[in-house]
Formats: sequence, C-alpha cells, structure tokens
Amino acid sequence: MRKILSLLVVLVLSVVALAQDRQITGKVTDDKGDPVPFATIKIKKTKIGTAADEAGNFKLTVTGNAILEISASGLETREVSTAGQTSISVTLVRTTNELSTIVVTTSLGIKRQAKELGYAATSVTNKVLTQGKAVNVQQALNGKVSGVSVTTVNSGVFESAKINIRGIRSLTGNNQPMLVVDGAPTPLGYLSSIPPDDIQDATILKSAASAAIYGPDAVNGVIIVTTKKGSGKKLNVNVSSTLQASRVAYFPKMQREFGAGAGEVVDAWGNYGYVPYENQQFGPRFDGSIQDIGVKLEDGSIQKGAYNDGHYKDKVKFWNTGLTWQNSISVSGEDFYASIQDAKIKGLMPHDENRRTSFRFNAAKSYGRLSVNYGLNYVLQNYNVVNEPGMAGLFPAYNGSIFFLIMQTPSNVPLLDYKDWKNSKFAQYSNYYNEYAVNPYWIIGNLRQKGREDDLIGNLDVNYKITDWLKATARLSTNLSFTNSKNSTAPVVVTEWAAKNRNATQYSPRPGNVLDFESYSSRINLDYFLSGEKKIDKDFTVRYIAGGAVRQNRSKDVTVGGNNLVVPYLYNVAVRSGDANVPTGSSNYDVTSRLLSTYGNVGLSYKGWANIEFTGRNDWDSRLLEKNRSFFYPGANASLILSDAVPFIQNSKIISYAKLRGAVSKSGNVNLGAYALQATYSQTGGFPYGNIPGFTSNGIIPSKDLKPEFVKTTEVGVELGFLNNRINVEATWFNQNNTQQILSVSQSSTTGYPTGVANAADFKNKGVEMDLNLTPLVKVGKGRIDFKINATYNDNKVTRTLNDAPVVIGGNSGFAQNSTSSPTANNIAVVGRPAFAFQLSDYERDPATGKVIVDPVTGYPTQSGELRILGRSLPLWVVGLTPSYSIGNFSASMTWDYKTGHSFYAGMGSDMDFAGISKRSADYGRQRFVFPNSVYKDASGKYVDNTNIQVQDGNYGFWTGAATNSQIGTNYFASAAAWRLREVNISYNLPLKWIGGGKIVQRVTVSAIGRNLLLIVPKSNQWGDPEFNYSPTNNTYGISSSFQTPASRFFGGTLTVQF
Amino acid sequence: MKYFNINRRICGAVLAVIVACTGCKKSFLDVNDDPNRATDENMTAELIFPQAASATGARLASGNLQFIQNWMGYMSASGDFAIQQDETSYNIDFSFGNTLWVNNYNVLFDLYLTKQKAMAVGDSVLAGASVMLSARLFQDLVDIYGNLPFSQAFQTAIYTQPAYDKAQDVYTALQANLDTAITYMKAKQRTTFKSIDIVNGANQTLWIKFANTLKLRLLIRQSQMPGFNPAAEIAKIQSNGGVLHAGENIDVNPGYVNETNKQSPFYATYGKTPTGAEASTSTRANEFIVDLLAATGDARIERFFNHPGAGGAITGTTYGLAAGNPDGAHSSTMGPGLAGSASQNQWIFPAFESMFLEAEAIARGWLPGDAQTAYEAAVTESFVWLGVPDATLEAQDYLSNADIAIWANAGPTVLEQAQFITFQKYIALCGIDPVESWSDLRRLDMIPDKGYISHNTTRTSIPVRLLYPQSEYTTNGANVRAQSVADQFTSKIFWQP
Repeated sequence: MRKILSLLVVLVLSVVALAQDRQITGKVTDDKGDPVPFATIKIKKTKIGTAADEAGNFKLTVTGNAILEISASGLETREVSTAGQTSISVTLVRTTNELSTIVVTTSLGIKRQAKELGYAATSVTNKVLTQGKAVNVQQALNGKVSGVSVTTVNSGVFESAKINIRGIRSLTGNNQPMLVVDGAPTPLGYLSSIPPDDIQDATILKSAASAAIYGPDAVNGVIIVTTKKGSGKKLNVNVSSTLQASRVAYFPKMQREFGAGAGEVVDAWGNYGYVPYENQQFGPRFDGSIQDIGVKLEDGSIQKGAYNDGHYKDKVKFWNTGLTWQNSISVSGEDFYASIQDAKIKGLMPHDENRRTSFRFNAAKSYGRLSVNYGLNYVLQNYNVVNEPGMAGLFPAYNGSIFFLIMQTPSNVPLLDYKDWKNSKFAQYSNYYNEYAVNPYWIIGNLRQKGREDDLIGNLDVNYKITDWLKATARLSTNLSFTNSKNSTAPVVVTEWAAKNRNATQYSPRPGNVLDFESYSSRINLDYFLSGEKKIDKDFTVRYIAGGAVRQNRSKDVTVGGNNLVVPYLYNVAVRSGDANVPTGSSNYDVTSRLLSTYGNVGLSYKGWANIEFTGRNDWDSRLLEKNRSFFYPGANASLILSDAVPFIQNSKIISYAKLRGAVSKSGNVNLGAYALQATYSQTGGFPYGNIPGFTSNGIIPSKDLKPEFVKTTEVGVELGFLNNRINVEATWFNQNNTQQILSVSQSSTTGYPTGVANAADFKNKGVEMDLNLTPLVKVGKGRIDFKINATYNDNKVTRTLNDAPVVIGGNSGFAQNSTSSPTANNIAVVGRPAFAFQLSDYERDPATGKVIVDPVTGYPTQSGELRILGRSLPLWVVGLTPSYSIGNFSASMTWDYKTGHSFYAGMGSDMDFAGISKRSADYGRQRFVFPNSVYKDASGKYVDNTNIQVQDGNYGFWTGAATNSQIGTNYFASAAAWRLREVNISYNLPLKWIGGGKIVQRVTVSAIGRNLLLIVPKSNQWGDPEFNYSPTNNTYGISSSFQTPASRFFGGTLTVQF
Repeated sequence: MKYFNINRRICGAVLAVIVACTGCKKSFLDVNDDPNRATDENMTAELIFPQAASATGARLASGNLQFIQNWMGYMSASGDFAIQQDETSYNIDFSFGNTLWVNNYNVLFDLYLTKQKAMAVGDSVLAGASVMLSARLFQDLVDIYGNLPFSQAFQTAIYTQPAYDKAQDVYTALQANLDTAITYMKAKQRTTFKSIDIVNGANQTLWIKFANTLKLRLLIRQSQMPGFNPAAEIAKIQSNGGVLHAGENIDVNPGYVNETNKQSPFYATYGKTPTGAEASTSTRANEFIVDLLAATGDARIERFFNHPGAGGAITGTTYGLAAGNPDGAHSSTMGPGLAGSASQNQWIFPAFESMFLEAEAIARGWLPGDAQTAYEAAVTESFVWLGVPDATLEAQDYLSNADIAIWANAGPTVLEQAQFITFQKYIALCGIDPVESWSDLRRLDMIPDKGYISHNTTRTSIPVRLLYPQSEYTTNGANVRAQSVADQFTSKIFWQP
C-alpha cells in the first residue's frame, strides 16, 4: 500500500513540479541503512516536490536554500535544510505508530494491511528482535508482545524456552505456536537456531482465528518469520560480533552456621557432633577450630581446615562464567541475501559447550508473470555437555545431580580444591572427603553427552500471475534434521583400599557404559493455491483464496547402548560384554504421518474501511480412524475502521485512528502421535532370554473412537490512535472453548491399563490483552522517550474431565528427586480449577482454620493422607514495560516484565533440607521450636492454638523427617510472582565523520546489553527463578528440579559494522 | 457478469484438484499401522506367558516388599544411611504402598491376558497355569489390602473404575478359580507348552499340586475365623493329589544370567550387580533374626546371611535406630541360600512353605497324618532348600536341641501347635516370603519376642495392613473411599482374629 500511495504522490507532484534554479540529489534510507523506496520529498510550505525511486534516490530542483520535508509511510517525517548542499542523505526513523499503514504477513505469506484484519496480529521488526542480542528469537520476544509469554525453563547451553500465546488450548498436547519461516511450516524448536540477524520481520498471529488457513498446528497462534532478501541495487555487507557473559544469579538461600553431621557422633546431651565425611549438615555450629575433613587416606594423610563457613561462596564460584560469542556476516544484493552466523556458547556448568553455525541463502527472481523465490538454510550444531541423568544409573538415585552434590558440600569444605580429580590427591575418586557423595568435578569429567545436529531447510515458491486478479502459487518446503549423540560414562575405578574401607555405594568399581543415538526426521509440505483480489465496483473489493495442502512427517531413530564396556575409556557398543542395551518404547522407532487439507477464504471489503472475511478448511489426518479422519472447521472475521467510516472521528484532532474488529472461528487439532489407536506390547524384564521371548502390555489403552480436539475462539478487539498516533492503544478480549481434549488419563491400574487415552476434558480459556504505546512519550530537546506497555490477563478453567477424575499432567513422577523422601508435586487438571492447579503433599490441618495440627506430645506435625490442590501454574497477569530513550545516534531501552497470580514448586527445596544446607533448616538455630501457626487437640478434643509445645527434635529429626518436613510439598511451594528486568540495551551509532564519511563503512554501531539483570521476588520464594521447569517440552509449568543449573544474569557488548 | 463465469471455471478447477486428492486420499492416509510395536492383533498367549511367569517370581523378590522384610525382622538398613522416617515409625501414608499395588496389578494383568488369549485358541493348559500364578499374587494383595477390585478388574472396555469386591468374596472366587484351573490343567498340553513353561517344565501334575497348595493356603489363612469349615475344599485338595512335598519347588527361570537386567530377581535386588558391586548397599540383616538364629545354633544362619565385608561374625542392624548402627562394611548382606547366584531359580512357592501349611492343617485336624512328622519334614526341607551342608543331619540336630524347634515344646492345644509351627515357618521364610509371615503374625501372633518392632516408634505392634494407594484415590476415588479403612493399625483384614 505504501508503494501505491507513493506512486500516486509521484503522479500528482510531477505534474506541478516547475523548473527551478538548483538541483539537489539525495538518498533516503531508514535507520537500518536500508533504502526507502518512493519516499516523498517536498519543499516546505509549497506543493513542490518529488518522490524517490525504488532505491531511495531522488533529484529535486530548488530555489536557493529551502527546507525539504521528507516523508514515507511507516517512517517519521524529517525536515532537512538544503543550505550549502547539493547532495543530501537522509535517514528516516521507523515509527510503529502508523497503524493504518502497517503491512503484515498473514497466512500463506500473503501481505495484508493490518487494518483489514479482523483479528490480532503483531509485527515485530528486526530491530526489536536484535537489540538485546539474545542468542535466539524466543528470548528476544520475551516481554515485547502482549499475550505472548515466554518462559526460560533452564539456563543450560541450550537455554530452552516455552512460548505460549494467550495461554493454553490443550491440556496435554502442544500449546506452542506454529512457526512458519518464509512460508514453510517449520518445527518450532528451530526458532532457537535462526540467527536473529537473519530475520527481516516476524509477525505474530495471536488468534486461532487468524490461522484457520494453516490448519491444526496454527491453533496456538503462528509466528511468521520472514528472513531477509536483498533489496536495492547496492551490495550491503553487515558484520556483527557480540560477546556476552553470564554469571550465576538468584541462588537459593543457604544457612552459613552449621557443618557436617548426621548423628554418627552424639554427645551426652544428644547434640550432634561434627562428622568430617558427612554430606548432611546437621552437625555443630561453626567455631573456627581446625578440624579434619574427610577420612584418613591409605597413606595416613588427612585434610584439615578451619571449621567455619570460609568456603560458603564456593557453591556459587563452582559455576563458570558462561560465555556466548556470536559472529555474523551477511551480504545482500538486489535479489539475494546470504549470511553466515557462528555462535559459541560456553555454559555455566564447567565444560559445557555448544556451537552453532548456520548458513543461509535466499533469492528471488521474476520472469514476466512468473516469479520464483527460494531459500536454503543449513544449521550445524555441536555440543558437549555433562550427562547428569547418567548419574542415576551409576549411583543410587540420591546422588543424582551436580547442583545437589554441591549443596551437599558443607561450607568448611574447600569445594574448588577438588577440581583436578585426576592428579590432586584429595580430589581423586577414591580419596574424596565425602563418604556419601561423589566429587562433582569427577562427574563433569566422566559423564558426557556429545551430540551433533544438522538441519537443512529449503523452500521453493513458484508464483504465476494468471490475470490481474488471479495468481497461482505452489510452495514446496522441507525440513530435514539429522541428529546424533553419544552418552559416555567412564568406569568407576576405585583403589583397593577404598573398596575395602569406604562406603560401598560410592566406592565400588563399576564398568563404563555408552549409549548411541541417531535419528533422522523429515517434513515435507506442499501448498498449492489460487489467490487474488478484484474490484467489483468502485466501493467493493473481493479477495479470495482456494487451495490445498499435503504434508508428510517421517522420523526414524536408532538407539543402542552397551552397559559393560570391557576396554576402559573406549566408548563403543561393540566392546561390551553381555547383551546390548536396546531401549524400546519411543526409541528405535519409525514413524510416518500424513495430512491432506483443502481450504478456502473469501473476503469482502467496502471502501477499505469495512471488511469481512470467511474461511473454511477440511483436514484428513492419517492418525485417526478412517471414520473420524475428516474434519471441517469454519471461521469468520470482520473489521471496521471507524476513523475512515465515521466523519466525526475522521475529522477529530484527538482521535487519529480507530478500528473495531471481531472474529469467530473453530479449529481442529489431532493431539496424538502416530500409531496411538491401539494398545501395544513390548519385551521387558530382560526378555528375550535366549530363545524365550516374553512380552508385557505397555499399559496404555486408547479409546476406540478418538476424535480431534476443537477450539472455538471468539475475539473482539479495538485499536485506537490518539494525537496523531502518538498514543496507540490496542485491546483484545478473547474467549476460547476447548472441547474434546485428547488426554492421557491415569486409570486405576486394576483396569489393566494404568493409562487411558480419550477425549477426556473440556476447558475454557479467556483473557484480555492490551498494548499501550506512547511514541514519543516526551521529546527532550532533540531526544525522545518512548514508552510501551503491554499487559495480558489470562484465566482458564477446566469444565469437564472424564468421570470427573483429576488428570495429572506431569510432575515429579516425571523426574527423579535426590533426597530419600521427596514430596509429591504435580500439575493437575481438576474440574472447576485453573489449568493447571498444583497437587502437593501437605500437612494434616485443622479444617476450620487451616492451621497445621501437631502432636500434643512430640510437637510434630503429620502428613495428610490426601494431596492438596492449590494455586495455578500459569500467570494470571503478564505485564511488560519497555521505556526507551533515543537522541541522535544514541539509544537506550529496557524491558521490564511482571508476572503474577501463579505459584511454583522448587524441587531443590526438599533436597536442600535433606542436606541441611537450606536457610530455612537453620531458621530456629537447629533448636527445638514451636511449629508456627499450629494447633493441637486438647483433652476435650478441640483444636487449640499451639504456643508452647516444641518439636521433639529441632535438628535432624525434624528437618529430614519425611512426614514432619521434607516430604511436604507445600513447604517448597511459593508465589511465582516476579518483577524482572529482562533486558537493557544501550547502543550508539558512531558519527559518520569518525568512520570516513560513510564512503566504505556506512555505519558502525556499538552496543551494550544486559539481560535478566534483576529479579524481584516475594520473600516466600527462597529458591530462585520461579520460571524454571524440569521439562522444556511438556505442558507442566512451575515445577523445577535440582537437575537444573541456577539462573543467570547476562552482560555483553556488540559491534556491528555495515559496508 | 463476465467474472462470474470465469470464477465458476476456477471453482471447477479447484474442485477438480480437491476431488483428485480425495480420490487418492484413502491409500495415502492409510499409514497408521504400527511398524514398531506388537499389538493385540499379533500378540499370543505364548509370547506373554514367560514374561508374566518371570514377573510373578520377581514380585516376591521386589524391593516393594522391603518394608515388610524390615517390619518382620528379616532385614534392616545399614548405619550409613538415613533411616526411612515413615517406614520405621509405621506412620505410613497413602503413597507408601502405591508401587506395590500398581506393579502387582500389572503382572496380574499380563496373566489375565495370557489366560484370555489362551482360552481364545482353546489352550486350556496355559490358561490354567496363568490362573494359578494369578491366585498366588491376588491372595497376597488381599492379605495386604483387604477388599479390592477383582470381578471387575481388567475389563477396561466395561469398567474404567472397577468396584471393590469384599476380601472374603475374593477368597471364595480364588478357590473357585483354582478349581477351574485344575480342570483346565488336566487337558492335553500343546507341543509349545514345553518350551514356554519356564516354571514347571510342562509337568502338569506339579502344576495341580501347586494349585492345591494355594487352595490350602487360602484355607489356613481363615483358620481363626469363628465357625470356619474347610472340609469341602480339603476334600477337593485330597482328591486332586494333595499339596507340594519335599523337592517340589515352584520356581521360575527363563535363563537368568549375570548381565544387566537379566539376573535372577532376588539376586538382582539383594545380591551383586553384574560387575560385582553390592546391589543394595543399604540392605542388611536384621539384628532380631540374626540374634534368634545365633541363639538357637541354627545352621541356616550361614545360608541366610553373609559375614560382614570387614570380617567378623554375622551381624545385623537394629531396625529404626537413627544413629549407632554398624555401617555397611560391618554388617551382613543376604547370604548364599537366598542370593546365591545370578542364574538361580526365582522361587514362587518353595516346597517347605507348602509343607508348613500342611503341618498346620494336620495339627488342626483338617488333614490326616502326624503333625510332628509333617512339621519336622517341613523344617528339614527348609534346611535342604537353603543348601545347608549336611542339611538333614543339621536339621535333626536343630529339631532335637533348639527349644523353639523341639516338637515336645509345641504345647497341647491346636492354637499353641499352630503358633509353634508358624514360628518355625517364620524363621524358614526369612527373606523369602515376608507377606506370608506377616499374615501368620496377624493371624496367630506367633513370635514370642517383640524385638522385631522398630526402634523408632512407641507402638507395640506393626501395622495390620497397608492403606489403599494414592493412585486409587486419584483414579478410582468413589470406589476406594467406599472401603472405610480407618488406619493401618486398626482396620483388620477379614480373616484376622
């Protein structure tokens, strides 16, 4: 539309242009240095002017010195004096406030004016994505768009994040949006490997309504990424380098008063003495005396050190400074774009590394009516990380994580001295001080996972313009992914002395093992459609799409391992003894699924300000029975531009833009893997033994008649611009009815199948999302302050479950916890509660007051038989604040976000209590205390407030006691509310004169970046980042485990040079 | 009007494409047959049975029963582990027995499937074997939990929330099922049975004796119920050839070898890992049983337990003692009679256990014969089963010198004799079948000394049952709540006096 408008201007203005004295030549570029085609150049207070050409160049003849007004849609108008100049280059700053002219990429890559759309769509430019120099796009989106919630669930070298748009629509299925890269549906995980620099723009279609055309995957919204293609005749070269460091932050709160001991040594009064080889820290108070550490070694030597908290900080210092170094070079010309990006990530975990190199080539070519676009992208990723899950197989489960091993290190122990596990005497495996825990450095050195992933993504797009009003398009795209990894576990070699004299759990020799994994997956999409638009008369325009799609997903993996490697440190399945380890279930699996679709879309526009659109789609999905395979889903949306339609608003000085929109739609989704319609069997328990096979039921029974899930969405929105669009407001109310949810439901194991799969639940999801942009909020001299606020309120409620039975979605049955008695903590769907509530083990409580009941003799609380259901896992409110300041070549911005209304469970909590390192375990000085807020039953059987009955043992007995403390989930449950300073970015474009006037080097930008700088949490949260979750893939939220590296803070800088 | 015509043509073209696609749709979309896993369509009873039979044995060796091994004074934790607060204080909750319940039902389901699939092809012998094995596990479950889903169990298509049958009704049904199974077992076996019967090597007589033994076990359990009359069932047992006798051990072995995941189950749980490390570093002999065996000069002690790694006499640990127990190197692990080798047979029902049942039945006058002879044969068989060197001589020595073993000390009354026999049965079953011992304790309170009670409680008796598991409360809530189980100390199983 911009081009059309500009062309009109050219036509009009060129007629009135008159011959004058002096000719000025110039070039108009935007703030990224890209040319602005067809910009309008006008001499102020006259009607004289011209338009720039496609490459932004213009010529204009002026009389004497004049002031030129240079404008283009979507960019801020600037005035430039021609005094003493014959050549001018003008940089226009992009504005986001021209709501009426924004062009968004919608379904099938078709560009539409935002104002025509009846649903919410947000465009994010490259600048917004790259300013924080996040390694990946999901991090970069965090806090920037209303309705979009990105949670970072760990801080490893992969930094997995979960993206949700408008909450969830499926209880157990996929809730992550669909990713479309240059028209090609692409697995979402790939978003983390697209270099943000390669992205031209990203559009987020938030509504299921917006996406009826894309089919089932789009029910959770769509992120449409358009990568850069060349524009302009000139060759552009961009070189960028970013170095970013991260440090552990938001560490759980620890006690600093007590050292090791667990009752092996007890004095006459029952006080626990110091035990120099203990992992549990219930010993005496630190007193500074010189004490033994560990046991006397074979040579008679023993470590000694001051019995104080001198090595308290070692638990933080253990973690490396993470480093991310990204370098990229891109070259773009008239019809191509090529880039190479390399990112090296060194993790917080010592020796964890990940390196990603990607290459992209995009091009476009037109031959008359035919145009062809194609792109090829190759991403290579190599990583080498510690294989923490391997610990569970090597040692009894309670040794199972590095973070836990660190927390099991008393503060008088010089943890960092054990780094050299090969050579340093006290660090060597057999000599480690701890009788019940392994040297974490040994784990890091000996349990490794090395992996490689090769992704190849290609798309080919052929368009043929049949007539002015009809275009045929065929688009073929493929994603190929090849991954392989090898887990290797070194043998445990123990000296004879240690094997004989030390705890057999740790100090027994064990052979090494290996697990090799190799997989291939491919996805082929073919879309074919006819599209076009036609003016019926001067007021009405009709727009139409009709087409179909074919998709095939295939994947195959081979996994094989050996548990008894006979040649030490040689990790090959072939050098084992005994049978190979060939996992079944979802390993060694070969999958094909197919989907056929047809769809159509008809839109009608009246004078551009009233628009209505109808869509319909029918899918045939191979994963369902033939009779349920076909399903149809319709949709409709409408928009009304009041600021064009109503003269009163049109003429208003205050209101510059007003739009009402609404959409209703239904979409279908098959939340089911392939081959999920039959109960299956596999061989377990060591079978086969020689010639004797033995199968067992896998315990999952799908209901006979599974149908797709359906989501009915209604949304109404308003978009307003005030005061010449300096103030923009956008608000959308949405309501989604999610029915026939396909769920894995726990069944009584007495049915034979502990798990059933059925259309087992319905739930509602509703909310309001709001954006407020103040651009500029104020102008300070030449500078300006902009301010953006987005807020989303999102609530949901489960309305039906099968047999009204609660459905456990996931939780700590899904991960191993370390300490001997771990609480139960689940995400659960219960009728009448939000999706999801938490289900936790709790104390026995007085039903009247909710206070904990203690025993009148022992003062101990007891564990309730029933699990308690409380809280919610997803935030009720998400608020993002982005103030920014810019002046000339300098700009600074920050992003704050606030999430509240939800809770989280810290899996680290009970482990830390077990180890006796948690702050809360020392809150009462390890003395007897009255359990706070408790009641006891008096002689008459009534509950009375307990003010004087102290717990029998305020030390080990209470804090490690399962029923008294460490098995109570509610003890580790807290508000997940958090204010977070997500991002700070300061950048400066070096003045042209410093870099040779822009002859060779056109622009140099330096910037400083900080991410995750501040986290403000309520006092009840003693355990760190509430967003962490044990799994990056399923629908659980707010359940962390101690298998995760602590949260971190990032600092860095970037240098970008453009030629 | 022109564009309308053209549009019609376009619509036609689009339709043609759609029709073309729908035409090939059927075969294109028929790709949902699982190429990876077996399904009901290609699964047979013969493929399931060996796994189900092996798993039946594995249930008895499972760590899920560790609690009762500990409560009964057989096993205990070494001093270098924090004590399990809930287990040692008997303050167990709903999650405590969850895996035991779930795992037992899983095995029972495989046995059920074997039976169904075998009957579908008319293989009644294999069906009978499956029913017998499931009677073994079902009775254990009833003895641990009382009422439970039985008649509606495993019928997912009809009952997604199976109702609970009364424990006594389950007992009655098990008797009837065993009768049916005996009839099934009398049919002609298929040629394939020999290769897959990893329990009794296709010996149908032995299978029938096993069923008879299980029938007697059900009867004996109800002995303390007022007015209980076993006569009719006893007659059937006698007419079908009686119970298992010396050497007629019911055990399973598909070919256990010393490899990961392929070791004999009890050895895998309590013996050594394939590379020779201790499989359970926390499990040690219980001081109670060690003292009892040592005090009576019982030769079996060397078969039940090993000498500590650091040397010295066989040493147990005190159950429930938070601090002060000997560490792993200074306490005893499970000995060669129990965890002898990675390839040993896994017991399902040892002959001596049957013989003790028979001795009690004779003492009660249910079966003909001499109680002393039967009792002494049972004790002797225990020595033999454990592999005591010169077992018969050692047994005779024990039976004539240990006060707790000399039949003359058994007492005159039926109850006293039953207690005497089951106390010896308790000793013989150390580590082998703790649920049977627990049931005897609840029935006859036959252990004279309370030394097996945990150090970490003020209770004077161990729980009489487990609470229904958490998974039932979440998945079968209405039915499990209808069972009115007050707590683990007072809600008795129906046969308890």
